Amino acid sequence: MDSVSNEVVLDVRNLSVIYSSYGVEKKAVDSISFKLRKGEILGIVGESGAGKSTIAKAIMGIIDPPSYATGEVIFNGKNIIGMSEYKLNKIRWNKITMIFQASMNSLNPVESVKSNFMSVLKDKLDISEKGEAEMKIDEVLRYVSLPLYVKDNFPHELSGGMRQRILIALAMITGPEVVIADEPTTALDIITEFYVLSILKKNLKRSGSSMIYITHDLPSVIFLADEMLVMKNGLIVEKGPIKNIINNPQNEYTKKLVSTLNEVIE
Amino acid sequence: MNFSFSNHILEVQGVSKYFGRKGYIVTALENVSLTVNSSENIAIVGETGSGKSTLGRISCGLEKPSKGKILLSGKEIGGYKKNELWKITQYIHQDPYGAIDSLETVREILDRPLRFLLGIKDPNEKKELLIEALSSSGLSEDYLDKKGSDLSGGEKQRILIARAFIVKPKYVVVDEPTTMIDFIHRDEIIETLKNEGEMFGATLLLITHDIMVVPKIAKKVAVLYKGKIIEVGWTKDILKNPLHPYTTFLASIKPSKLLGNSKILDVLNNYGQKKQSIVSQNKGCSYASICPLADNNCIVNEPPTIEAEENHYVKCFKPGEFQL
Repeated sequence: MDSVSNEVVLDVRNLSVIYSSYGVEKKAVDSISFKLRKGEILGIVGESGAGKSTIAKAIMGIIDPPSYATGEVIFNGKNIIGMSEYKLNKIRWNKITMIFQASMNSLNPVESVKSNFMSVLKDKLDISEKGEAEMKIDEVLRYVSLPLYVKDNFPHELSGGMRQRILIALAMITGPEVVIADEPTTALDIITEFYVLSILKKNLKRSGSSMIYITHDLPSVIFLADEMLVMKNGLIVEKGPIKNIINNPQNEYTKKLVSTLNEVIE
Repeated sequence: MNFSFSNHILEVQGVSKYFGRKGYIVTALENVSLTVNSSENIAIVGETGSGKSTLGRISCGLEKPSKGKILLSGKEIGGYKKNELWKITQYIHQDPYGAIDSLETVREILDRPLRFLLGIKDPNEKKELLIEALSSSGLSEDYLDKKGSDLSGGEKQRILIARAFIVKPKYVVVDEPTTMIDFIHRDEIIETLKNEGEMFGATLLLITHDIMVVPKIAKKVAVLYKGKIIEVGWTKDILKNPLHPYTTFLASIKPSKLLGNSKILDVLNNYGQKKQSIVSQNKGCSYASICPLADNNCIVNEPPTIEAEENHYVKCFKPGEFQL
């Protein structure tokens, strides 16, 4: 908590997302507001269909028309919602990055880990000189405790936990201000899950980035996050510091969620 | 039929399983023996690649062991005819999304075991059994005409449970029933499984990587590591007093412990780093390359399985010495 400042990096105001298909509209996220402060890890918890991933998509600007988002997401004083693709591309994957759930789908399967990194470095940081790129890759691989030989491996040759750490490294390599992680560890066994999460936490602390952590797995939120939002049917039903919510939930849904946990946090 | 008077629903005797071809062999299970008593649910706990799913699949006849034998209700599993076997034992797959045809109705899905295994033709009797199966897994009659694609993950899992129990089996293998399910619905699924087992007199073998879910459903637990059972006994004993270093470590992976204890974080970090550089070894303890307590003896010799306290077995030279 001590590393969280009062500076707001992402200010979400009355964000709604409407999915539209063949003229039928459905509100997936209903006028929600929250602030993400610098260095903060904010957990968003809820069951599938609650709208968690939709928030991530809206912030990343990847809601495909005819579906659309309304409201404001203020990043560095500018509203991201409705920003042109040209401007968005300067922020997306650079200042705001995302770690996805399916590591096998997020990495290019026919390229080595090194070339996966090279394309990011070239596109986003304009680094194409080999030696410099290699140094940068080695640096981030060390941060996620991966041996350097994985550079020459292809994604399918690595275990799920290793692939997930490559995704963390890819997300952190641009030095982002905001990282959005959408269920980054659901496919992993419990030891590997917490190992990957501890590495993620360490990296965020080191770089001072803020994170929105989306999951339905409550124990991992308690381990990672400073504050949390509980969502149901597109609405925020409860928000606050983790300790308060776990030890003293107010909303009926949150109470049910917390009762599955059998834990007390000091 | 030749009934056995023993109380053992399942006996696994010296089972090994090897996968692979052309000189590249993976040992999934190595000389595993396990006895499961009737109506005493057991959980098999282990990480990815520990062999827990293989053990589950072999124990219900979905796969043949490379060595050793399986006795189900006192009779060797190979001796059963297929349709006879699936009346006694059922397997619930871990991925409800893959196990249910999205174009079929629930009625069609549940009808198949009735038709092919139980040979029930009378429509009234059928309907009764269908409704009974649905209601015991917590779903109403309205679900009969829903299609697979109309069901949520939790509902799909309930249909799979209903389909398994509709034949009133004696022994049911459940492979990771909650990994694909939202956290909030996990306890409900576990509760449903437990009730069905009790209602129909079936013994469950639950495969899971989450040791915390075990006390909710299983009286006994076996911990697998790299194809070997390293600790087995009553769930209460093992959670209260884990003796193998791996079990001790596994049982402490929860936020309330991780947040206040930097020692566990160190062990976790160490575990993650060592695990990626391990070359499989043939002799010695399977956990020796990671174990903080391992000495030369552990690396060279395989530890014996000892009964540390009554009905609590552990395969370790230094049981109970590792504390977190």
